[in-house]
Amino acid sequence: MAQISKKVDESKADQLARAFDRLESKVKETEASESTSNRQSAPSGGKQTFQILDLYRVEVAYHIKKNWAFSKQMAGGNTSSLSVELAFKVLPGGEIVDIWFDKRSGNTYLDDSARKAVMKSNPVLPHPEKMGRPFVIIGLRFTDKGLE
Amino acid sequence: MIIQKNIKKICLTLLFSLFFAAVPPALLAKYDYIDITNPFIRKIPMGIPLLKTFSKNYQEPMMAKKTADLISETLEFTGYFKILDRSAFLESPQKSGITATNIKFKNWTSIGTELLITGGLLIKGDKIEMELRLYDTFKQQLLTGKRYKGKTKDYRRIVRRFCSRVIFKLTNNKGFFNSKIAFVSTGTGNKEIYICDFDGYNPKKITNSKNITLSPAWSSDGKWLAYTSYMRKHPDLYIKNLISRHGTIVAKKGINSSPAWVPGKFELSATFSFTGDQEIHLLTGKGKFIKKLTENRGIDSSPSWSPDGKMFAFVSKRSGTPQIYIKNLITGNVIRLTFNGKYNTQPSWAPCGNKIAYSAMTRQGIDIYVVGVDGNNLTRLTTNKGNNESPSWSPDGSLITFCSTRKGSVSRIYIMTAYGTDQRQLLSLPGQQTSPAWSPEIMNN
Repeated sequence: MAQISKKVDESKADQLARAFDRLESKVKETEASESTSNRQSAPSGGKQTFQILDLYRVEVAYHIKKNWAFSKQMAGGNTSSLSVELAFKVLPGGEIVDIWFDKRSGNTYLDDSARKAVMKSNPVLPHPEKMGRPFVIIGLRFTDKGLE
Repeated sequence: MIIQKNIKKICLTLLFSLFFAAVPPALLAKYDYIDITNPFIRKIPMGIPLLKTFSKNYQEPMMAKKTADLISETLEFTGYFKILDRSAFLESPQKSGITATNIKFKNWTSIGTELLITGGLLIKGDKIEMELRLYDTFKQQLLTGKRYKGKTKDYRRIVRRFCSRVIFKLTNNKGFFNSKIAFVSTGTGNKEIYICDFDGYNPKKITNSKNITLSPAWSSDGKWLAYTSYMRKHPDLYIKNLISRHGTIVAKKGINSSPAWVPGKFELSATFSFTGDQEIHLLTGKGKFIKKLTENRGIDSSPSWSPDGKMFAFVSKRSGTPQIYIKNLITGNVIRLTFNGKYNTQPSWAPCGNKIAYSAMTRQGIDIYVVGVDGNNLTRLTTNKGNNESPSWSPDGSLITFCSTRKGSVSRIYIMTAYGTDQRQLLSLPGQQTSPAWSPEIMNN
């Protein structure tokens, strides 16, 4: 059990590290594109808003991940090749008002578990100040790759 | 003209709104997906409040708790569920009711409950009526429900039937709540075979050899048990009907050991040494020899059959050390399955058909491994906890029972999931317990 919880902790850390890495590289890409082609038209504070928005998305995703309950046995065995993509809207106060599937996995149990994770997490964190958006759409891809 | 213009305008507006209503939100905004690749919770949160009582019978509150506790224990045993602490509940079916119209599902979803079991009971004399229901709290939907009538003392049987129903509904699998586990115990000072329920409840001694009894093996209908006993001062093979208590003794010269029944047939294989070498033979349930299944110099023993009965795994020293091999009875081919380590024994073929559990001796001790029948996906299930031996699968393949010396040098029976998680002791008896063998689902149990 100790090994498993260690594995869970490690994978949790990996997930977040990967998310932040992606975020960092995205910011760099944006910086590069802004500095070359779009310097004139970039809105003031655009990069900062982008960072805040992506950080917010990652924070919400982590909150939802903590509520994702999934039993491989109940899903009918090996589901590691399956993934479900869903998205939802978050209002400024953190309320999730809409959840939809962009791609179902073909395994109803996996799809339901992802949807329940989002529903259980409602409400999520309110939008950060200065975001200034009527809503934020967050897309999540759930894949069970752990504990093979 | 004006009317025509207006109609055109209305039609355009309708088309426009229909277009936007039909377009998935995904097309209205672009977004990347954040990957979530590991469930944080591997068990499904389930709420099982006390059952609602319907009369003023003094036994009802006690039975309401006893039943709810037993449902919790039984379902938790599967390793699929996390049973939530009742002190966190915001609603009591005693006050609110047990049907969907009375349940405020928000009270359950807000504390993380995904599945909810409600129930009510009525006791009259020695008779009990029980109604049990399983809900999906997020869908606010009744998944299954059943009303049971019986004697009060039968409440355990009622609970198991309902739990089987729950597992079938959720996994499409019959589960193992009607199965038993046979094992060897030294509680009396001799090695005798005992049988208990799947959860360790109700252990009973079924042999009285006053000597050494070993290797219990269940027939696939759960009615017969084969084992080796030294009752007559010689390792003979006993084939016993568990209901009539009658049976056969196969007493060939030398070893008569490690029986394994052929799935779906009244036939079994076992290891015999009357030919001078330990070989695996096939015989009828009445002890009549059919044919020799292995033919090789060196020990061949411990057969375990594939679920379709077309292959069997066994232990052989043909390569110099004990390793696990698979023989295909159709082609006659034998392949070596294990290559890691120098001492791999006690194969147990999983009911799903594609995995084999076995025990392997390493420098750290003996541990249980699982490997695919193609030799891939080798996984160690036990580690650094005494010696772990004799794996045997539950009939649905979700759990494995085994014996372990992890608590000192005394061997006990343990259970774990097929992934090696949730390892726990099954029962506590005097003496040592070894060689657990999980039965198939036994009807009319």
